[in-house]
Amino acid sequence: MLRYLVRRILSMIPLLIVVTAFTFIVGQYGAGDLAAYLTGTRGDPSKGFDTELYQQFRQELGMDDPIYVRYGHWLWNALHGDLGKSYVMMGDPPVAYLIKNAVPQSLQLCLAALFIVTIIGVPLGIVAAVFSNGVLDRVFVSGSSVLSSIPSFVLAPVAIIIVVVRLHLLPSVGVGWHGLFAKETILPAFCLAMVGLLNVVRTTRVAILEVLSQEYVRAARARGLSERLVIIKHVVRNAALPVVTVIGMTGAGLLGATVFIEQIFNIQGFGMMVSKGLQRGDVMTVTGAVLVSTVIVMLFSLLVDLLYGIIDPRVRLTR
Amino acid sequence: MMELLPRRAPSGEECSARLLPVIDVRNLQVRFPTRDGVVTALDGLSMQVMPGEIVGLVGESGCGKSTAALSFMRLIPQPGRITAGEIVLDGQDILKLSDREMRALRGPSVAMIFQDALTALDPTMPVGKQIAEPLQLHKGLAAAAARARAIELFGQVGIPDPERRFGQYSHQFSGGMRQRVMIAVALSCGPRLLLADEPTTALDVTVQRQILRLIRQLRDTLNAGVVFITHDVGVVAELCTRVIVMYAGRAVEAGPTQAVFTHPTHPYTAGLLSSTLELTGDRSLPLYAIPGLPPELIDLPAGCAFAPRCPRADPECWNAAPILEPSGPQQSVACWRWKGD
Amino acid sequence: MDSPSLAPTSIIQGNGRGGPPAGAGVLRATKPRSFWDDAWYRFRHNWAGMAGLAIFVLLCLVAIFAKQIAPYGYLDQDWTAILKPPSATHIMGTDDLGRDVFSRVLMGGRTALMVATFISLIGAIVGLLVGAFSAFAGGKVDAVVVWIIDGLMTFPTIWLAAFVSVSTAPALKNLAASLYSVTHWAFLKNEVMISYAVVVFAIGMINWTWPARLVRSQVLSLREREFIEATRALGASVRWITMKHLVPNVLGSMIVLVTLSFGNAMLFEASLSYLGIGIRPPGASWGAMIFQGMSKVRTHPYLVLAPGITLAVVVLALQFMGDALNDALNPKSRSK
Ligand SMILES: Nc1ncnc2c1ncn2[C@@H]1O[C@H](COP(=O)(O)OP(=O)(O)O)[C@@H](O)[C@H]1O
Ligand code: SF4
Ligand SMILES: [Mg+2]
Repeated sequence: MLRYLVRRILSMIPLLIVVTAFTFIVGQYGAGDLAAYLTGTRGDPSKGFDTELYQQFRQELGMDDPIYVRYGHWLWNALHGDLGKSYVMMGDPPVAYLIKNAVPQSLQLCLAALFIVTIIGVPLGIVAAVFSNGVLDRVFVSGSSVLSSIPSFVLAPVAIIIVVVRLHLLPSVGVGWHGLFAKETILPAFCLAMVGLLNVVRTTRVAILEVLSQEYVRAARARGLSERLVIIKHVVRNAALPVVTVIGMTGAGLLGATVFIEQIFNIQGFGMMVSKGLQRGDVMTVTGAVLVSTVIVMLFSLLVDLLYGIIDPRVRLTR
Repeated sequence: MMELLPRRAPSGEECSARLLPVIDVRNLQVRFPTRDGVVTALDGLSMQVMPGEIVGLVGESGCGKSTAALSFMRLIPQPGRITAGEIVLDGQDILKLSDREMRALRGPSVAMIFQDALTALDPTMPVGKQIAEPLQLHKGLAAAAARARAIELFGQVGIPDPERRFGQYSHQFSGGMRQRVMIAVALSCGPRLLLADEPTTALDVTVQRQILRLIRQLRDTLNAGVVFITHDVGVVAELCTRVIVMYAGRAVEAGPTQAVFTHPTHPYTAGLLSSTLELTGDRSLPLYAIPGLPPELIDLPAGCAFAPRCPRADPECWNAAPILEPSGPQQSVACWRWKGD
Repeated sequence: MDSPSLAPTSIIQGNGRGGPPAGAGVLRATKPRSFWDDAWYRFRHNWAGMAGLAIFVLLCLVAIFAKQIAPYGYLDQDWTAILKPPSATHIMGTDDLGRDVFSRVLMGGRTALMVATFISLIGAIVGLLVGAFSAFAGGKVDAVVVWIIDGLMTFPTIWLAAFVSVSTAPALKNLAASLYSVTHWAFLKNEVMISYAVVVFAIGMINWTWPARLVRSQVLSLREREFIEATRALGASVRWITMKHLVPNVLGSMIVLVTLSFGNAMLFEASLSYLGIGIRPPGASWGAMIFQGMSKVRTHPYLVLAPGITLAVVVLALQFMGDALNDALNPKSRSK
């Protein structure tokens, strides 16, 4: 098992390198000449374009090196916790510092949303499967279809209008992060959760249906187990693998959707950092964020793998 | 090779029950409404199994053998339904029972051995637990007692090292051992009727022999009735006291194995036997082979279902379906022309 | 369910007499229905799919005739009617520049439809090429392509699209400028047009993964099939045969995939525009309208609701249509 884990982690490294190299290179070329930008914004405007300063910035940024050398530098520094500086923001804050401040909120938000989508989606999927093609099935599947298809930047404002402005059910939102268990977290986490709802409901439904058609379910019934016991003791565990996988993948999807949710609910998290970085053309911040989010996504998939081993003895015993 | 199950002294009630069939099926009809039409998987099946008797159910794939076995447990898969007939299991008309009452019979009264133990055992649950499950449920045993009993059962079906095997998963067993586990599950509550749905088809020949021997021994010790489903005529000849030959959802011939196999009266039985001889290499008999498949069980023609493939069919056969009628002392056949031309 | 029968499927020799008498009705002729008839039958009986189709057709009509339907010009500002709630004259109200929201929603539909059409076309074509190439190349090349696809699919796609869009915008602008100096085509200087191109490019870059996967697996499984062997025996090349058989085999799944990716593309366009890196103003985009309305959502919710609900309805319609098409075209994939 341990050897398997190590192998898994090692196999992720190439993907990490490719993804970051891609973002780094595209970012460096696409962003235009950062040194020129800095000369323009930081230099003395009365002097016109200050070539001396420009050269100085080029030196400082290592822009005369070939791109792979620069990427190597960046990666080397990244391994030491230095992701460069955000030149676009005031005071050139280190990207690592920005990320360190932003990630905890977003992770908590995502975990809360993941929790919500699991406790709602899995039971809905089970019920839909047990009554497949019945009324409940149709209602649950199309209902979650509706909730998941509405983009979060539409769902969230509608939710705010209804829940906060009209019904006053929850406190007003829009002033930062209040902690994982705060009332203010409910609405953003809920809206975020809806992004993954359909996937979870569908996967659960299909997985349960698949298992229900298996011979061992029939065999369990033939032993006199009630339908409820059959589902609890045999079906749920066997259907868990695809469900766990989809929940893990949903985690990655939710991370992506934080760019909308955090902006609307004014949470200073990772998504907010990325959306601002994108709008300002802050290449270093975005590149750093891509690295970190890729790592997070990979950790999620590693976690899913570990859960596999716990759930399925065939996986556990063959590794 | 195997420690036998303790034989219980038969009570008075059981002695009288000895004369009653463990299952008595009358005119059973099972239908599946599907997108393309209604499939009549079983039509007018009647059969009895006495305690201690092994009845063979033979026929090509798709002729309704599994459907018959499942209907005896009231486990026909959706959207199938028993549309007519009567099933009296161990003295109770199971079609009149509530779901809960029916569940109470599954295990103690009727149990099933499935064809492929690999798919019929839950891969995520230790096999021992799957044996203990019905014991806890029906016999009210505590977990520890159920475990002890399960290990005992393991020994009885000939699984070596039962203590260790108890906690293992089905994929850690060989095919033969797995089938023994399956049998132990079926035996756990000492059923009156054992349904074995092609229990040896997936096994190689030597293991097949061992399993057959085990089933026969268990029949002796439990005095249970056994319905043995197969399409292997050789196995039937070896194991079964009586045989029912099925075609397209109907019994076409029934009787003592000896009689049916020495004097088949239905052309299909004859074909089945000769094709087996072909497989066993006995070339002294004429061989028959043409393309031809059992009919789709939707909108069966009015006449004999076998007519399109029958060497003896004549126009009369296409008009009305033959019904089962006596063709010997204990033998019966559903064919207009069994007496010959 | 059953293992291959030991008893052979054909046992008995017919005797050649006693066939079915005329009119016995054994083989009652059923009219053969084609796969497409069947599929259409199944689709027609799926009300959600039909509703989706109706909405989609409506969207197409509206997008084509946007200029004719719109009561006002989508850029016309009316300084006497600023931030007016929905009324008889402005059925969806007016925005902070006094523009008619309804007219802008109509034009936004045109934008969304246009962008999504390009994106899903590109996705399907690139996917087809990459998938087929990868499957035919096999070996290391195939492994690398699969690896890239898997990598792309684990990543939050919206970020990738946003990132590509931000970092390629300047390059595309330069390209357009240098093209303009040669051709003097006016649209090359049009910022809105360029932003269209950027969005199409950015989303197209990542939206090909699903079709590519599908095509690849289809090619691989087609190569296994015996009819290929049979045709090859007649001297045709594997590549040619596969391509010839591929299209009909993939068509059903491809239609579903393109429908779903169409909705996806609309969503992506709206998302990028919402983030301020998609369609540039004054181009009309639902995403941008939602973003602009967001600051006034408490006082003037209709600014968000009008484009938001329209977007949601359209995306949902495509989703339902895609699901219904899937049920209709791949009936086996439908679980029970
Ligand atoms: N779930 C089902 N839905 C529709 N038809 C079924 C279903 N299960 C069985 N059948 C029909 O019942 C017939 C008998 O099947 P089965 O009992 O499995 O045959 P056997 O066990 O003899 O091979 C088959 O021909 C099939 O058409
Ligand atoms: S009834 Fe006629 S067709 Fe049917 S088995 Fe007998 S002879 Fe053959
Ligand atoms: Mg069967």
